[in-house]
Amino acid sequence: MERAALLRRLTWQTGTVISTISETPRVKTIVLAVADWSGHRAGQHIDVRLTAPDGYQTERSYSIASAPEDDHLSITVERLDDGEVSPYLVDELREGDELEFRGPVGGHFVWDDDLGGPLFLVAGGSGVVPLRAMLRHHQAIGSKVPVRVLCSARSLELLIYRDELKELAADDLIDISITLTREPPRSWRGYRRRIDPAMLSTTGWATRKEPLTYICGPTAFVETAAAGLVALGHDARRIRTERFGGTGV
Amino acid sequence: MEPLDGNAMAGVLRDLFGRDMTTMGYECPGCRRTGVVAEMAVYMSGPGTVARCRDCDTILLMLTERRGMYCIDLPGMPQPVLPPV
Amino acid sequence: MAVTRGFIGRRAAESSRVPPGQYVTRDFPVLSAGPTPYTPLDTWDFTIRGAVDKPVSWSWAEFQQLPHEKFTVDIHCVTKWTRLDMAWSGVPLDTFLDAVPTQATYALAFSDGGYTTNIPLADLRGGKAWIVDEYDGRPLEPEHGGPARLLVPHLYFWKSAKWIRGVELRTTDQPGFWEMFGYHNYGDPWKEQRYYGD
Repeated sequence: MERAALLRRLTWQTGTVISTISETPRVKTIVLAVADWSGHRAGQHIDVRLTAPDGYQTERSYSIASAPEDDHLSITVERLDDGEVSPYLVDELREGDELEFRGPVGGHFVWDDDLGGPLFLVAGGSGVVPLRAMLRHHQAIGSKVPVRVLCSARSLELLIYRDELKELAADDLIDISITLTREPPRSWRGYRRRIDPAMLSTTGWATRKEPLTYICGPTAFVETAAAGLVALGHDARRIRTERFGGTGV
Repeated sequence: MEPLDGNAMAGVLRDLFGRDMTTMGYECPGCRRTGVVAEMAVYMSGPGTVARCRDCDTILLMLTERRGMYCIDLPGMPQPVLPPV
Repeated sequence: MAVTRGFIGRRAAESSRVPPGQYVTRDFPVLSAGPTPYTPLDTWDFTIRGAVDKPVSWSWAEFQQLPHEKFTVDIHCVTKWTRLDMAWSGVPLDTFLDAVPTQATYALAFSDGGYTTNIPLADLRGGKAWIVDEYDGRPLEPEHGGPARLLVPHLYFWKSAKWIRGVELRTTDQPGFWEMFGYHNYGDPWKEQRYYGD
């Protein structure tokens, strides 16, 4: 394609914050009421735009945390201490506030029942957010696709959706493994190290099952997980990845 | 600094092309790697957005905004076929 | 334009030191158009080439021996942040240019990783530009352009090429990486020369 100049189309819309939920000491879920929400696919994200009184604007992408079937659109935001947008969203935004965004966007890191499985969902830190949307969608439609999940977090306190993951694990079709990389409790029976090929092999599927894999997390985490699975013999074309700038896990 | 990936460009590309562009294919002019836009290594912190080949760093897509007008260059997509709306 | 309640963002400072359209930050944002090169110091050199009789290079050790200046300047980035009072140490470009006679009037700085930016040669002379290898009393971090970067504080910060390896002297102007892509050829923050045609 030749270089092209294109006029921007303005597609920003507004949602009203109906509640915020503390997931961990530095992570909040923001639930939005949106008039005429077009619907979304599990795994998609929205771009949020903030505008200061002096006209300064800045925008960031956040994964949608809710399933398409949920009543409201929600995002889950991790507070980055040197961030410009996330401290506002986590500390300042409250019920009744309006939030400007565009979306849903993204057609690659999405899962519907048609795409089948078996599914292997690998999350580092807040990378669990779009995977949670997929899990909720899986539950909502009564999918028969078997799912294995591997979540890496620094500690149990920093594991996002801890209670919900416990409930999901009660489903016969869903297996959830958790690794805590920094401060596992003494009684912790799960993994207590960073992800590696051995862990991916034990918690995931055999290559002959030809799983469909989704990996989301900080860039270094995603590279490690994707390279590990390819080294184990998994087809790179069946591995979808999403990287974000954030804190390590 | 660690690059993001092409998923991070989904919003702006959707805005410009009126459809999802992250599933669009590319071929790297440097090393011939093929893939989809979502897999590109993306640097967004500079004056514009630069998307590179994950294997050889060749530039595949550049995007700058100039007061509401966007300029886009797609060296990784010499004959792009736009995905359906 | 809908203002987001409670969002302040970067503060627009009413100061004679802040150019129009800029916001003051206390951070040092990392701006990159590609991967960080991490060039080993024993293979690093700085070269003046192009419209000269013979290219001249300085090894890292030779560069270290050159008299360094410590100075404090304000930095203005085209992405709208301004940071006041940044303390650097480096070698004035005059030191290198005085060693290489030339008829050139333009310069194209080139870096590891393929980045380039063009600057009129006069803007690199007269103590207005440096090759810096130290920020805030410490060796310049790779993510901020270390081991050494160009610093031209009177122009927008994209002109201060990170990971600099040399300057090509030219009799004709050659737009660099961002200049070729719609950014202003000169980039004076006080005239808000952000884009081509400003």
